[in-house]
Amino acid sequence: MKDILKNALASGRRSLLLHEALKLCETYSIPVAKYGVANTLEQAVELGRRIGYPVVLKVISPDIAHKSDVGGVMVSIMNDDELQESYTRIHESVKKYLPNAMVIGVLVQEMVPTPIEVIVGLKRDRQFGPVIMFGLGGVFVEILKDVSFRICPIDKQDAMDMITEIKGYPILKGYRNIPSVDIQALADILLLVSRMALEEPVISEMDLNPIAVDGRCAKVLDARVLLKVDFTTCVDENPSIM
Amino acid sequence: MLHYIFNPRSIAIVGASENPLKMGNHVLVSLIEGGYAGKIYPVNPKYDYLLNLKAYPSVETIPDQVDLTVVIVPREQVVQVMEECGRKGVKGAIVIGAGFREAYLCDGDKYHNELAKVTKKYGIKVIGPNTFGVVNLHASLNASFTPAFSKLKAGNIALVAQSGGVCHTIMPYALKYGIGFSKVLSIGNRLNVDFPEMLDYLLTDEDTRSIAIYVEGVDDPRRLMDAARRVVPHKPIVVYKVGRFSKADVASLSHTGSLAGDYMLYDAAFRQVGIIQADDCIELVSMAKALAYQPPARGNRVAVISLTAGPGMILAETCERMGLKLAEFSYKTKSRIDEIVPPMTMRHNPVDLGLLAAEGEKSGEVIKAVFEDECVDAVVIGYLYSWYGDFLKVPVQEVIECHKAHGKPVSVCLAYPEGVWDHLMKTLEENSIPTFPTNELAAKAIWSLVEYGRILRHKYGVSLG
Repeated sequence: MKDILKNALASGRRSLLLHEALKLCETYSIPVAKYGVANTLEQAVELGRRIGYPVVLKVISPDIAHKSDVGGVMVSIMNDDELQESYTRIHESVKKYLPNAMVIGVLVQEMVPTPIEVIVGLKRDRQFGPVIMFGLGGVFVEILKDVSFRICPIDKQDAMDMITEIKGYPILKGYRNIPSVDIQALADILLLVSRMALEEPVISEMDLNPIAVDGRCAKVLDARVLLKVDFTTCVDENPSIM
Repeated sequence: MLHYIFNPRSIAIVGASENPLKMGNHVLVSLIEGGYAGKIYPVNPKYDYLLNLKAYPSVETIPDQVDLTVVIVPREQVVQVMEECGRKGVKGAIVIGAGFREAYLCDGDKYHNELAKVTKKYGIKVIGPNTFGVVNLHASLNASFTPAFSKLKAGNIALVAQSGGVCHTIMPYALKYGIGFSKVLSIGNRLNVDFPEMLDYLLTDEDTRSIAIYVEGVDDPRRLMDAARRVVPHKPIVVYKVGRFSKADVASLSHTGSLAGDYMLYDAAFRQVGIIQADDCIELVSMAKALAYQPPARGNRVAVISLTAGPGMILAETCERMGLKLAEFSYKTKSRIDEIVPPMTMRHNPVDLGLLAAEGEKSGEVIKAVFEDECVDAVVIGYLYSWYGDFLKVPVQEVIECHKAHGKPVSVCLAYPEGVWDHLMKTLEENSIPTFPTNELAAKAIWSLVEYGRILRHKYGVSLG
């Protein structure tokens, strides 16, 4: 088990913090947008400069499920001044909406243009065990339910099938003057998530949402990882799906 | 061990009865009328003889080896009967009765578990509980409570349903259209014979070329996937799965004891291992028939030939809806067709042969040109009875010869009033060309052959030449 997961379990948590989830992705070679964690305003500015503007700020808190609902996300930050202002505003806003929320820090993240967003999900089904999902982000998944599933583990062909199977595939393949996105990069992410599902049975659910993809690469921008409540018990109950 | 269930040398019927209102009577009648050639031993302490057969008070008093026992007694007695069977060395059992884990009865699980224990102890394979029985048409074995199953044609489709009702739903249609089966059975509650065990058995069964399964839900679908991975490279599997909606899920639990589960995941699992999905019972057997008769297609380019324009449109439409490509004929093929067919109708896929209706030879030449085209992977043909007397010529021999010469899969719709074209249908089917009463079914059948070809190449790396 990866240390990030061990530490979270040890501290009795049932989910990873945003930066931990991104770090977990990195340990599996899943590409993520450049990021750093700031605990002070100075660190935030330092990170903004190092990552390079524009950047995005996201609050990190175990108590906040929907960051943007509490003003915990600021985008299109172009320079040090804007960053300082946004940093302060995030703290104020969170304090106003959720005064008791524990704020661990602020994620400073490279702002990646997102003409096309996809999502990759992982869950454990009562009957099938680990299953993986792929879909186009936003309205496509939420309203149209245009998603595909496979049972883990998957192979390269399964990954390609998942991508080509969704109705929105022509959007990924390119249309009019819009070139095809890097489909291989998406297939690679699916394979890595499938591997993670098998190697880390403690993960009960995971969403990489959104993943920004263009013609050159794919990058995870946000990730949510839920852990099993009582890990050892779960293993004993369902040994065949591990 | 499953071999003995389908090919028993001797059968004990526990709960056999002379009362035609009892299932124990129906099973006995099925076996006798079905022409079973082995020994039949009715077991019922109330009788000395049953339907002219000597009856025995218990399985253990039968003075012979017993391969298979059909158990038709109340659930409270099943475990005791199975204990006797175990001591007797019986190899397989069919447990017709219900009231086990599927039932709204608090002790259903208890009976299930006790039965599981005793059959495990003696290594007895069980079909059921909660099954109508087992039919092996190549062995004249009808070990079910419905004698009518013996009337089915012996063929090469194995039908394995979670529900006996589904077998009964398919049976009249199969009788009407002469669809032949190797085995027909429902596996009900699947005590120790579930879909994976059946699939592995059918893989080795020489009489089975394609497998049709009706699935509500299984406890460990990964086992089903693993079995399918072993079978599909050698024999195609078609599934009709219910449980898309939540009510069906609950109904399934009380029907055969397993939740139907998340339909999306079953759909994904079937795609993943290359199980072909049908949308209803008729599609299920139609696709299974095509797959039992015909080779898989090497590609997805289909040619549509029909007697008139409308059916041609329906064939083309259905093919495209299923994801097939209408073949673009080569220049050579187009020229050949243009020489034969007057320019008053569709000629370049779909091909309308209406103007050649009375000229079988010319129709045959067109069909030959289409089959010979390198750009065509599969052919679907739609003929309908019209006009009067022998005016209309169906190019049956040409279709048979073309299929043989090129190995390309073909399916044929023959729409006709009962009786008039039975001989044509018979000739086609005897030559392994599947016929269907509607254009939609003929198109879906050809799709299943294209799909199986895709699965073999794409998932299992099988080269189709």
